[in-house]
Amino acid sequence: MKKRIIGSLIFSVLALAAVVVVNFFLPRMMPGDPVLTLIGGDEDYVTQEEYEECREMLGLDKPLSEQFGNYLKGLFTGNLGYSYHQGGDVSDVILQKLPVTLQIALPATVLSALIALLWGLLAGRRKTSPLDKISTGFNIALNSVPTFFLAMLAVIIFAYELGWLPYGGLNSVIPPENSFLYFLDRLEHLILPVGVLVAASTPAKYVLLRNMAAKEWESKYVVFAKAKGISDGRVGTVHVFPNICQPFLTLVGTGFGKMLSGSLVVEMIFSLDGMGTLISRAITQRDFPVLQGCLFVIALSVIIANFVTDVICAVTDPRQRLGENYD
Amino acid sequence: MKITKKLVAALFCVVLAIALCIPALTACNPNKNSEKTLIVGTTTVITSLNRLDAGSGGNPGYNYDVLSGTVSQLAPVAKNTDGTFEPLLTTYEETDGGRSWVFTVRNGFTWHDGVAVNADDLVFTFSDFFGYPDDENGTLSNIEKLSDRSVKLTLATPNPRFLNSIIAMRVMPKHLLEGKTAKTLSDADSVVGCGPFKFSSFDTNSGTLTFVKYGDYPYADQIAFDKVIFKTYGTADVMHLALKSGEIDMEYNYAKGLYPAAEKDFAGYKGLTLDSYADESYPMNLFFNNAVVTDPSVRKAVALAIDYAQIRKLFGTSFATASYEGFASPATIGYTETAERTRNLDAARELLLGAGYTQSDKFAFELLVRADGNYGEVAKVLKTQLEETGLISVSVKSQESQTFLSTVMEHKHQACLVKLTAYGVGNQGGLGSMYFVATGNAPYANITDPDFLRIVNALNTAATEDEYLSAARDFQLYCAEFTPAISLYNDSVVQVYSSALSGFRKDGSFGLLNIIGWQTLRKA
Repeated sequence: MKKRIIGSLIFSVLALAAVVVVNFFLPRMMPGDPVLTLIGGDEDYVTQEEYEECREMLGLDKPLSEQFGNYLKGLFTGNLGYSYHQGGDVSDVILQKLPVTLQIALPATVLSALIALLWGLLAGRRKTSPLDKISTGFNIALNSVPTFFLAMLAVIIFAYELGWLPYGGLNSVIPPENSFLYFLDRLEHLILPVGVLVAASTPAKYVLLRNMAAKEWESKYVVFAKAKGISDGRVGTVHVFPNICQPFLTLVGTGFGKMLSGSLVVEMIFSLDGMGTLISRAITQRDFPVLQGCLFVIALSVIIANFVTDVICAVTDPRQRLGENYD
Repeated sequence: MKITKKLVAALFCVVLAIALCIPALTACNPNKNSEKTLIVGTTTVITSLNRLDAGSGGNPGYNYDVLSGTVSQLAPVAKNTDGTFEPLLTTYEETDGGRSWVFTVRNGFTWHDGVAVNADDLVFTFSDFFGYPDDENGTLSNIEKLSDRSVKLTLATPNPRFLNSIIAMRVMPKHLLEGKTAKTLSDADSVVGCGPFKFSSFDTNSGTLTFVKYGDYPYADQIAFDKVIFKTYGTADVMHLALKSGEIDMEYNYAKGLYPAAEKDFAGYKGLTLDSYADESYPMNLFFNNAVVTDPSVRKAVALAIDYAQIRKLFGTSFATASYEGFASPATIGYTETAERTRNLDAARELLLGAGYTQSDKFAFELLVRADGNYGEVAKVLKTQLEETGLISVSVKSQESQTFLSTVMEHKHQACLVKLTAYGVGNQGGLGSMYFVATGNAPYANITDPDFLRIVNALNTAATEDEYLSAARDFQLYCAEFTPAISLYNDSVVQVYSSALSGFRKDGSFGLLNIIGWQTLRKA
């Protein structure tokens, strides 16, 4: 297990190093003035004074090795550059937007994983039963529905037709002053966007887990466990799941990373000013500093998520946990 | 295991109960909408409150600066939809054939921090806006403070239409902004205005920009609302649903009305009112780079190949009308009647054949469009229509807005599709003339013809109404003869609001939401 974890850590560090190097060189290799590229400004709007200030700040007159050193130093101190379009430091901008996305991405990741886990194990246990057929068919159909359609459908049904839930934002236009009601107001506003993300991300996990579980339930050790009188629930959670969890957990980890950058549609429809809309706006405005910063943050999140899932897999899989002593 | 199952089931029930109770509990929120609060939906994205970083649409403070101009910040004068002006922050007096202008701050106006608005603020703002005195070829030759509340501007050349240039110029508080830059200006100082509402909060969680009534505004007793809240939506579709269900009272985006599809959706909807007004904006226009597409007969051929009726039907509102060869719309000050634009494929082909183009050697050009809005869709329809001649080949190129503007500024385009706002059309000489000249702010037509430049100069310097109308007529006759640009259709601005609202005043620049309008706007 130790070997696995150390190997995973080394790989994560190497992957992060590659991202950092690409992130450093990419804007410097692009056509046009590197100063304007690195601040995301346009020569028609950036004054000469601002240009000189930014040039000095970016250290573009220094040797490349010194620039890279300063860039690494900046990363470690949280300095991700300056954005002319945003009128401020990229790290400040990302720190404003990231919590918004995390408020929908984290619960959606956890909920979709739990739902897919319970549902997939149950359906895999009852392979070819009506429950399995309906569940699997439903999830395959749901997986084919575009996220924007799901989101609009949710808004039309729950916000417009029924009036049960709000249209968007994280709080009401005139939020409650009472802290408890403010918190409930926040929860109420999160129900729809989180629900849509759950609906969009659960099917893939369900299908994977259901197929693997269905195969695993036919294993000899499962037959032996059931012959010993162990209940289906315990067999499923204690014996079957650890043997099939690796790809599932890996999917959960990479899915979280995708949600950080790919929640644009959900953020737009539910009027949430998070990472998705920030990236979208940066692309249309050619705001390279913000794109660089977001690339780094998202890459870091995905690498960390992958590492954490690798560790969890190593711990939950008895074959890895016990290592050479297993046999 | 049975205990575990029971525990899971109990937990599930608790979570479900909380989830079901949340809407009921939040409904207990006493802070609900009232007739003294106006909630305005918008798709305008507020990035920054910094008004010194608001030079153009690409700057972070631009969107806040524009929205605050409807509630909190005042220009010297306001423009009506019939082209006339009325005092807003200042009275105005024109002398010397439009060469000199005296602006006097009206009684009772104070900044939201209590300091009285004075002549120093006017001097500060005019100097900043016109780059005086550093801009050697600038509009102003002198600014003179006459008294504590009056300033006299002397223009480099007489311009009776000078007021058009300042209808969007929000006056700035010198005591707070002097010596400050976009980096050193605090948000607290930036948001100080002198309008009927003062900035209260900007909440990114709820996506709201809130203004509260300023009690010391001279006309505060005529204003029915205590609070104005701008609520930002990620998409117009969701905003429309929110309006229909009453979450917001009206929709507003600067210089934009409803898209035709949305207009049709709202038509006849109970509880909502559709309102339209003709302004000087031109919804969609094809500009040739006249230095590249040099043959006027070819430009005329392109104009004859367009199916204007189809364009109106697809992209115009129900108020859309035909465009004219003179480019100007009937709502434009100085309009002269010219022939209506219609399609004539045979005439188009004749002109192209006469210019030497054949089916194997077509007239090919690139149509540059902005990536946002519906420019791409219009371009695709135009491409189909023009290629029906068999003698034209169109390639459509899409660029994001800043790159688009850079391309045009460098005169690298062959033709482009643009919308002109009322402010832009009325600016400088009017009729959108500033977009035609090679040295203009956005040289879409890039004309260097001395005859045309003489006409534009005459528009800019006309000292009397007759002189202006004569120059305007020459401008439109030139457009009809040489086709430097094609207006695809004319349209009114259509906006929608709750039928509970009444008393709107329509402004020539800001539309339904404007400073003077607050004195008559009411909510049932």
